[in-house]
Amino acid sequence: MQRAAFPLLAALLLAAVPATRAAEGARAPGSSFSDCDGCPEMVVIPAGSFVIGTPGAATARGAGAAENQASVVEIPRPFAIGRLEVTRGEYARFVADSGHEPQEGCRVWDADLARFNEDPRRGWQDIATPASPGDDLPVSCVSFADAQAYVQWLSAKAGARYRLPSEAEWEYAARAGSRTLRPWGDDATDGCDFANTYDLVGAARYRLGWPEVHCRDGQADLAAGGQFGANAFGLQDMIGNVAEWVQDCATGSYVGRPRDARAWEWLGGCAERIQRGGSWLTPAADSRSAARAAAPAGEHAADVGFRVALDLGTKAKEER
Amino acid sequence: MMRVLLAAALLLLAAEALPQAAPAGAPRDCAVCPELALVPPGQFQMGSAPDAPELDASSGESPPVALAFARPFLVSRREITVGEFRKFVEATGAKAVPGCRVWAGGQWIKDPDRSWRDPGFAAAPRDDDPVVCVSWDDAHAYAEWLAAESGKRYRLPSEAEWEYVARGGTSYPRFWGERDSREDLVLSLACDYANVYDASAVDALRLPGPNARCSDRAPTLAPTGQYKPNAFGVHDIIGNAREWVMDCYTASYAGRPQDARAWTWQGGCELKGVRGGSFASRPRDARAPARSSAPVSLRQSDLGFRVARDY
Repeated sequence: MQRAAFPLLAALLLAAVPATRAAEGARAPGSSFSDCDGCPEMVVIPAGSFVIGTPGAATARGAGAAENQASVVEIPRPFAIGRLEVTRGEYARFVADSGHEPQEGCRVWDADLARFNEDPRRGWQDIATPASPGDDLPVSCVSFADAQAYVQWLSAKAGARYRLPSEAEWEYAARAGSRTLRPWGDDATDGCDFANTYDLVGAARYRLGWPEVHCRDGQADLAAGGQFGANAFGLQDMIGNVAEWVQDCATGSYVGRPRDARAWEWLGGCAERIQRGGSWLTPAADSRSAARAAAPAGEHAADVGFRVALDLGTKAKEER
Repeated sequence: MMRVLLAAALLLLAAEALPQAAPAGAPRDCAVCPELALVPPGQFQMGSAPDAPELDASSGESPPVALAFARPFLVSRREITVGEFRKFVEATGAKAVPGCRVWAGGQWIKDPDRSWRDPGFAAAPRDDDPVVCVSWDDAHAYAEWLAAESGKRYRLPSEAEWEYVARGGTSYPRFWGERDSREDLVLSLACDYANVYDASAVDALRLPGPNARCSDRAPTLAPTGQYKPNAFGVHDIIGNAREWVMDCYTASYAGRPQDARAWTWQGGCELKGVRGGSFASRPRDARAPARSSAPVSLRQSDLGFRVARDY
């Protein structure tokens, strides 16, 4: 009886494969799509498993302390993630269309004080550096709540449930199969073709007080999205440019985290959320696939933005 | 003397805030309900300083967090007993799932013939022994049943409530004193207050690691309430059976709720917090701030629970 079930199961699976392909259309792993005119370009990421964290990492404080408790995470089904960080142009369309009113103020680089400073006059439209940012730069000075408002608006517009990536999805997507410290290898100085981090060019303009990576990425400031080399999944700017909000609550350990890729959130909510990838200001030591930072969910910073994610097969019309 | 004064002060505090509270011969919410201790509001530091002498850094007990209880709450004075749990099983028809992890041949090993009815110690379990070989789900179901019986919202204590109770109004890792020993004799005081891994347990258990330098006369479980209570009138909060708490477990307090609510994940969790140490716990694990965890379905012969409810 049990033996008889296997050929039957195999036949069912074979029959199911073409139907699934047809339903998903071009949404095979590695392909990309956009759900509407002006919606972010999405890349399909395959299911799989990976090790989150950095086995044997030196114990850091705060959220970083989790890194050395590396654990296996299963990504049970393919999902989609933005090829690029959400741009200022995309965000402007959202603000104009939705009437969303972001809270004023942003933590920006103050050239006079030569340090980061909360400036109540700044905001996503005026991020101080660069002085005249273009529409194709990633949006920054956005809080976790702003990012949530954006994905809600985008979901309504696209008819699909857009959301922030979970932390596990983010690291899986950033690693793109790599087990090295960075998508391109272990060495930060090999990264200037792949990431806009705090390099010699940035250090020439901004004396941030921490070491720069010894190569030249050609960008002293925040850069337009998509100018650096893609990882093996075809994603760009996962490391560097803006740090990215993910959905997960922040704690200092991976022990007890969900084994699947869903966001790790507390019942009753949480005050701090995780940011990943580092920014154009982040020192080499923290510009890594597994590095994590935590920040209050209401914080706006000139080097923090986000990218979006999407479960496949969640288009409203497909659900009906 | 200090302890007596502290206990008196706490009782006064509780009595002042709650004139109807009766600490001695505390009332029960229902015939099958356990005796409750009233725990006064207050604040404490949960966890240990990074330089604490017996710190277990990997458990996440450090860095500590400051928490406050704006309202009093109630906790069972004893661990839930075999007799109490039997009433629940008889009343609800809850099926006893056979199998329990027991200490045998130098390791914890699942024995399919053991259960809460017979955890496999030398003597058969007495009705006033703490119930063990109960999973988190069993403990949770018991609390739900009590809630239905009494109309009061019984639940497992949160991890923060548990540690606040365990410290008994002190800031010490053990409620009986800042130091664990009589200074002149270097003998542990633990055996007056807790059933831990002591001299009387060494021959029976042969556990790795040090034992408390005293004898509590109980090689394995002891009937609940035999050892001295803390200033809140709570017995066996350290030792005897380890105790499930409501919270999910991760090895850090970073990001936990700023209040004493249970910290649980959306979508549930596989690991739950376990507190207090047991008859098999070496001194370092028998401290108020010491943390451990267990898979939610684990049944083990040193793991039981107590219940709590809002005041």
